[in-house]
Amino acid sequence: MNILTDLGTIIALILTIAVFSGFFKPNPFYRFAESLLIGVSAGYFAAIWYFSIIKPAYQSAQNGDLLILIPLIAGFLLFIPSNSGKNYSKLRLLPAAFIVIVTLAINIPIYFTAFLQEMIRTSVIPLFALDSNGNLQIDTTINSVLSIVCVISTLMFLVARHKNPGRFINITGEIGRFYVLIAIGSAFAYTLLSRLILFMGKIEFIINAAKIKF
Amino acid sequence: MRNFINSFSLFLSRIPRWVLIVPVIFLASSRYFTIIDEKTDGRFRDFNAQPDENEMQVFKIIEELPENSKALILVNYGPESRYELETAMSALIVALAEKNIGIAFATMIPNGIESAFMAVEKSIENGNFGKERFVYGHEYTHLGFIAGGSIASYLFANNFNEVKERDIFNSSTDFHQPLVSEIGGISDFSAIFEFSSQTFDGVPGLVSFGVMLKDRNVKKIAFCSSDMLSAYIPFRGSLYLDGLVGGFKSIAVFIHEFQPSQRIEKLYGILSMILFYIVGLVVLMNLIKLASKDKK
Repeated sequence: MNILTDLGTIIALILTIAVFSGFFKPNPFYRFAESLLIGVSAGYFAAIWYFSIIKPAYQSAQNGDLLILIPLIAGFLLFIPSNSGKNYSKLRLLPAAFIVIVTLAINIPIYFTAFLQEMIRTSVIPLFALDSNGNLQIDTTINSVLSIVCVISTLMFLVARHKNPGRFINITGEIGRFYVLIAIGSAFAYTLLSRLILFMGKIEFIINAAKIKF
Repeated sequence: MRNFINSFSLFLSRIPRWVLIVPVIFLASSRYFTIIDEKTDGRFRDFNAQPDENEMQVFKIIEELPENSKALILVNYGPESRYELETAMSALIVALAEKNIGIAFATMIPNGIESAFMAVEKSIENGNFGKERFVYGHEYTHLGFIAGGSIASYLFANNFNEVKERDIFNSSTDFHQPLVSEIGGISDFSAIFEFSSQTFDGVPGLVSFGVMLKDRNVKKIAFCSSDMLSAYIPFRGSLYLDGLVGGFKSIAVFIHEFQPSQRIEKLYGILSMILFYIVGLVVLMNLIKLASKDKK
């Protein structure tokens, strides 16, 4: 019997039940577990950032690589309070501007290539899908038609509908709105599914822990 | 009839939310207990989900990976998606280890650090692990947390030598790890896998990686949790994603194919039942709502 492991499992079991007790109504056990989670998360993230960024940078500087001190000092400049009223408080804008510029420089090509260029490329698909013998593949063809209608009507809904609302554009825009709603609904359903799996995993953990420990 | 609908709607509106949640808990636990015994002939014992074309493509890529090559696994999920992705990652580790493929783990999110070690532990504990030894530094390594989101992707793709200098324990990889010393650059990996439960600046990690990576011979396969599926699906079949296993159904099919001993049937069956229950509840509530609205 490993006392530390067993103790850890029992604490995890109690905390899981304490969190689930919030389903019934907020209570002191739930609030305790919630506060503990926030506190532990903050501590964990602080430790990770310290050991992943600050400590290796400090060690590199000790080994003679003084250039590493520049990003380290720039990082600390970000902590200068913006409302201090001192002239030097504007120094925090330097690293902030650098971060924004670098992030933009890296992300703009990614967005352009991945979202614009690749989305257009994958949207251009044959309307009628044929197999190697030249026969029509009905399911793929229906899928292609639906995709093309989806792309055109959603564009109509988002772009053209507000400019010249003719009869055709209005009807197509309505179809586009329908597709947008399906997309939002499915995204919500996928999120729900993900949380359900997490919930089931915790239920399984409670059952297993209770079976082993008690 | 109207009176009945009225009173029933009123009754439903007064039900506290925990009453709706308790049956879900009950169904989950009761199904767990009824099919916990392997000999039990439960209703959900048979796994009836079939792999589709995209999933077959992923199976094919994994089976065609050359033996004794190297693979990079980006572990971008934390405890919130552990139950969805950990078993799949464990199945992948077993599949790669059987082919003597060296594995380098890395993470781009702070809470993904432990996930890799937990999955390795699960693979070894499983009992079907074909290898006698699976030693850190020789068969697998962990390059640690690389901060910066898409900037980290840039580093991986363009300056991998800097990323691989030190491992998660801050040890120099060139001296202590034969696995890493054999890797000159990102092109030396036969495949890159990402297990993800989040995007970086709105872009899936592997996609931003794929945009920056010039070498098209390196296969890029993403495994994502259900809530990330809508972010990944648009890139399925694109140049930046050779394969996608996303959402619980695809993950269940993958596990069933590569590690049948994990008995994913149980979880899949329970989930199907709960989803069926929720859909039924939503339909019922909306019908009642519609009926009461018509009356007004």
